[in-house]
Amino acid sequence: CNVLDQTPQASLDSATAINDATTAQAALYGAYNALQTANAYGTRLTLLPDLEGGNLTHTGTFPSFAQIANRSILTDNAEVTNAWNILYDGVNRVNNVIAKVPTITDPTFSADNKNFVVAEATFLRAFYYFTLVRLWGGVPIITQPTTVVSSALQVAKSPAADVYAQINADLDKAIASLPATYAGAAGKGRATKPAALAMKAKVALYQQKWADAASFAQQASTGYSLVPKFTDLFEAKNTAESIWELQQDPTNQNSLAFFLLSTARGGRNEVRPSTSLATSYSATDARAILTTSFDSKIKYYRISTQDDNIIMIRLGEVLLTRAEALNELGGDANLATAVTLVNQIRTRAGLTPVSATTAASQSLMRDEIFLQRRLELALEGGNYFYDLVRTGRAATRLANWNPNQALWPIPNREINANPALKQNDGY
Amino acid sequence: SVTSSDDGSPLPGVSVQVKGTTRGTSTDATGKYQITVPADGRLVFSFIGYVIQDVAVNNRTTVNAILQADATNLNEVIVTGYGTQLKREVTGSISTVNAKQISDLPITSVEQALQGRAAGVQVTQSSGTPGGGIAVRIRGASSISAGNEPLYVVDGIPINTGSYSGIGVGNSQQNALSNLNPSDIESFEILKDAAAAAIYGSRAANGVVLITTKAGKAGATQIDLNATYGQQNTWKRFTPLTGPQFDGLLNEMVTNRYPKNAAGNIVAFGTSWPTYGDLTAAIFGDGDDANKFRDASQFNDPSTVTTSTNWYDQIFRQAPISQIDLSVRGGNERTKFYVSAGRFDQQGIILGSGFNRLSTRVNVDQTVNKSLTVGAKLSLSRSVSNRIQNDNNIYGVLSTAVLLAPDVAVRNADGSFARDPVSSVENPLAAATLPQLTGVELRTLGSAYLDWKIPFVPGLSLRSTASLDLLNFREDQFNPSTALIGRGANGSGIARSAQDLNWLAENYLTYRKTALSGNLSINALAGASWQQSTFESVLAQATNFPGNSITRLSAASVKSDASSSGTSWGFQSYFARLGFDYKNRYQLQLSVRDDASSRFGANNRYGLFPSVSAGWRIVEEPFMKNQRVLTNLNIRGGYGLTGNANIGNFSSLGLYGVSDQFGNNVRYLQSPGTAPTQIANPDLKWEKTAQSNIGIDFGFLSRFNFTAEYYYKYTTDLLLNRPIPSSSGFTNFVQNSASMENKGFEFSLSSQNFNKGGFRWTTDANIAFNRNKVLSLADGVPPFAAGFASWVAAGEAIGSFRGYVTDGIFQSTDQIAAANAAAVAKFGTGAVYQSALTSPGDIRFKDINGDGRITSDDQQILGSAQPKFFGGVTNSFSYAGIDLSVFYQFVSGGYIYNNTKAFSEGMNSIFGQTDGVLNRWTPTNTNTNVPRAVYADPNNNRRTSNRFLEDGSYGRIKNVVLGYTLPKSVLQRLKVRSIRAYVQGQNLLTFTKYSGLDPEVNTFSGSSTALGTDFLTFPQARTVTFGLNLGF
Repeated sequence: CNVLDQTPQASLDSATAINDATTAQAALYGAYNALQTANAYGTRLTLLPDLEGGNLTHTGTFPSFAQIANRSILTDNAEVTNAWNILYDGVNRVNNVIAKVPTITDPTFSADNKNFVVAEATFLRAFYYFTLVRLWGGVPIITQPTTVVSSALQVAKSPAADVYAQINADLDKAIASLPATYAGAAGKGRATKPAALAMKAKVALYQQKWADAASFAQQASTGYSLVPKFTDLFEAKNTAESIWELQQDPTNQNSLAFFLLSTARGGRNEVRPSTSLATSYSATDARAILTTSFDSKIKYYRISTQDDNIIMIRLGEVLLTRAEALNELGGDANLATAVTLVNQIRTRAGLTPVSATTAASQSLMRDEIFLQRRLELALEGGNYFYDLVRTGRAATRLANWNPNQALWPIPNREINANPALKQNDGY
Repeated sequence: SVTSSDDGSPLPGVSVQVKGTTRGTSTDATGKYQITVPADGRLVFSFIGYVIQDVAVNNRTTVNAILQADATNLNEVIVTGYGTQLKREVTGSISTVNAKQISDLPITSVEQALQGRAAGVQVTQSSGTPGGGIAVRIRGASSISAGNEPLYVVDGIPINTGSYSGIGVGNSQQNALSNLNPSDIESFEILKDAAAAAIYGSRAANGVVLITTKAGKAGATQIDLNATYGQQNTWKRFTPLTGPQFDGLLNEMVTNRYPKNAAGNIVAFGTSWPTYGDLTAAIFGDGDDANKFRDASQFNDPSTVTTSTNWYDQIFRQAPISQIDLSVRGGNERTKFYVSAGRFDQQGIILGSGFNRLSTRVNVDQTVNKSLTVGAKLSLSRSVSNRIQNDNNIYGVLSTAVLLAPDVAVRNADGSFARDPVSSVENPLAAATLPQLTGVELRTLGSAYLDWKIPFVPGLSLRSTASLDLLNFREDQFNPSTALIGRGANGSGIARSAQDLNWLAENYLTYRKTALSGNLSINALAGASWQQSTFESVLAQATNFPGNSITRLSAASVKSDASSSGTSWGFQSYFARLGFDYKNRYQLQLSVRDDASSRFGANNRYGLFPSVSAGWRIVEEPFMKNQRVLTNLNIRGGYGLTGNANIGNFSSLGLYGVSDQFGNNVRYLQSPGTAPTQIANPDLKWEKTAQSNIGIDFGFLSRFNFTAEYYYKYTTDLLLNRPIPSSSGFTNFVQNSASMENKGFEFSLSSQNFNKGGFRWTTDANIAFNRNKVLSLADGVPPFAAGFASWVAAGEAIGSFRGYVTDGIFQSTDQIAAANAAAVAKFGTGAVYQSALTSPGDIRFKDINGDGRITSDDQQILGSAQPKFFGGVTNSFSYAGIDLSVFYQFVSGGYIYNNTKAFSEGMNSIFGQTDGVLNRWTPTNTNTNVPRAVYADPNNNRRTSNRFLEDGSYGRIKNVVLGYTLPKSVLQRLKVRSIRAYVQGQNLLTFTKYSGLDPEVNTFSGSSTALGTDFLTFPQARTVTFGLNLGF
């Protein structure tokens, strides 16, 4: 025997890792997987923006969480570094799929199926960059897989506008090729055309392209309906309202419930809903998330199996996206539609429709939509902090606000490893 | 017959020669011999370790000789790689530790035997965890990321070491060496320089520890029984705050964080609070108003708090330690054997921890005929570790004892464990008693050899060996739902089994010849070796148990993980050595090894590791013949290359894995996924160390032996995880790039101070000075952080600490305003020196770069964990059957980063605090270096700074052994060969300024770069044992 001839038993050679339909599918699942790891939406990116925006308070032990709660983030903050690393790891996974799948010669892998795989990957790339641009603003845009180490890896930041352009270009490609649905409830775990449309609408909202936002939101709504009972969204998985929902199971867990719940319920009590969030709900609001007795049913509660799905986008949000866009577009007809949309959300939550005064005022409706987004989407995808920043409310709603706090610092290690990168202002 | 002057016992195997002839014989098992000799002839008796004796026959028919033990040790045989050498022939740097030096000590793992006893060998137990990890550094650290532990070779087998556990319980590691029974070991030889170690090639850069187990001895069969029993306890504990002190502190923290506004109201969280007690209760009382865990009244008047739990008293205990060993040793000229069985049992001084080991060994040598000898060595051992959660871990036993507040009771009224609902940490007693984690390690070390003196070529012999190191590690974890760690999962468990099969086949020829009328002796060695190690593991994990009685996974309803994995490596090596000795004065030795390994990249498959060394034994020169002062004077020097092949099994390949580069399993939609994990580097190879060594050995008056050595180690091609922009999708790239140096002096002395009238006093001492420096990292690789405060940078030692520097405490708002005004002048409105919330009592950090504000650039190197010098001194006394030995061990000049203190005196949250915080800054206690108490620590007083860096120097009376051996007269009546009783004390006294629990500490057990860091780490015990040796 030749003792020098040893081969890895749990890895594949990267040159041949994506070479047929099965391995392409596995690499695509790998690209989804990065999104639901603990440093991405599996825990941190779902909770940290809400901690930063004040929907959550920090009650635990991690100094890195404390920095984010205080919005005094150091450039070596582990959460910031880890999030950057996993998001770009995800980008590389996606880029590998997009680059390699079209070159696969496996005859059982049809051109159509290749297109589907590439379209899903393209959607994911858009979503990775959307996350990056919201957290850091302008970032390096990488669209090719990394195979060798060279100085070419030192890519400078592109302006946020270019990142948004890349996101929109990818979403357009995805919208053109993605199917409307996949078979089975767990099909909601994958990118569909409505998911891409909904994401496109959301991106337009951030770019204040109101007409686009309204139009894409409307297109994304088709085929989905609000679940009558709000808590069903989380107690039942993959409801009729859900458009894209990361799928978790007992062998593929996340720590959301563990981080949120008290020690008495087996959690680690790292963060908990803030008084500010709890008191924002009226007593009859079905969506209420309370600080006291918050354990029983918040959005993530399956502590023993740790398999709470993570809803990435759902009709409730799309309706509010459309309402906001229409309200900003202005005009009586748009305003009236916006009021109708908001009332759908309010009614489902057990609230009365908006008052006539509010309904008649674009500015009051603006506040109402902002509030409903907070109440509706608390602890989902970090919307509240991004909304505070995007709508310019951070300065008035957050104590000791400094505009530089709108973005996280580029991780120190990244600045060190890449001289072409410039640190964000204020860090 | 021939007997020893030591104890009058017969000496078998002594060479008896008729002077001036080639005629000779050797003594039998009872020391007797027969030889034909002229009546006026002379007989020469020689035996290793004894002074040669030349006796005139003078017509006698019986010539008895009493051989004197040779105090100069020059004829001592020491084990070297692939053979043995007389000590005086050694030109490299080798330290020896003998069985005798450690036989009475409570040693769990064999590395502990080396601590303080071999110059230049630094042994640091990372913690007091029984069977836990131990760091051994021979002449400093020579690697950043490929490991700094030496190669351990047991009876010729390079064995697998390290931790085989796959279940994380904190930082404390398992130690595979702890399943060797120290009682079976005859000697340790530590090959320190390249001349000695290069024969082990690409694995020798960190030095080599050769462990030789006891072999059989011809002569009367000796049965030895050694039994010890003792108790261990802490030698130091923290003093926690009392309940009233703690609640007072919490109230003060909140008061300082939310000062009353201009109107005199307490406003926080958008609400106005009637008293600070109400606000404090809102933060620390748990949210349920009806049933507050801590209420406003207890904060407003802390003296009403009645619970004051000292958690340390709950988890520390006096713990027994015992060992019993039985060995039988004997044989005749043809067959020699050593068999032993031993049991070691240690409970840890922290509740829940423990380690025990059962071991057996059989070593047999059989002379088949004049030219053929065969033999086998086989040991079987089983060690069981009861492990506890530890260190950086909210479920750790000591961790929670430090971190849980004193106003929490041990148990609730209903008998269940009490917890603090505001805190995430477990009840320490629950942490110690509820979860179960047992690791069972089975190890078989076996080898068989044959030695064939090739008849056609005198002096040439062949040795073939086949060896096996088979290690099975099985661990079972069960976290019941009654413990916080298992509560969420409703009970969780892991069962894991790992197996490592390491086989070795070696063949080598040795050749000895004398030439030039006996003036030149030549020895040569050439051989080949093949070794392969295959690791496999299986893991299953499950949650949701029906109760807490069935702990096996079959009971659990959710199987959350099942996986198996494997990896392997192989080496194919050729080696040779050639030695010349001319007139016992001039010595030259050359050695070389050629290693090929599966680990090396395709472009660098083979590595060559040569060495050359020479010695000049001045004392043998004719001009020294007439002096009587120097019994030894020897100068030697050498140079050679060694490598470190511990670079990962498949690091050179570009890979896609089923778990990603961060260790996450890649799965989605209940389907397998893959992710890129590393970029290929076909150039990857071993790390290369070039080492020069120069040594001088003195012997004076047969009483003092002194050795001084200087070395310089220059390591290049250090493996570095070069950070690359992670926007590439990879965080780093493994590359041979960095360089590092170690240089130092080592001195060792052994002295017979006094030997008269039956009173004997000897001293053995050693001290080593090592200076380590990272010379360069790769191009474009910036300095990087490790651990909590450690820093790797060119120009600094490995184990350096970096952080902020404190500059006193802000005493007034004026001082803060002045600092902030300067920042505003430079950076504009809103700029502050440190933090917008800095207040009097907060620490002022030094503006190192002078830019007027504190940023991450204001950090600097604060010191290094590496000591300036270290060593040990043993004084041994004996008189009339009484023996006393006192071993003092010291380490001086290294720092410890006390991260425990950053929490236990951090005053930022609900964590339990120690009495150091009683000296905190208040308007009336301003002359202090402890900052004010303030909730959430907005000034970040706890940041990594020299506030928590402490001098880690220590000296300790490591062992004192006092024994009494019964006199021969009594023994003869009892028909017993020997009886000795002794009492031993370990860590009896420790002299240190370090404020933590123990200065011998590293929470990053097994780390190369994060050294000397204390974080909730299991401390060393003070141990007193009683022992009895019986010989039959």
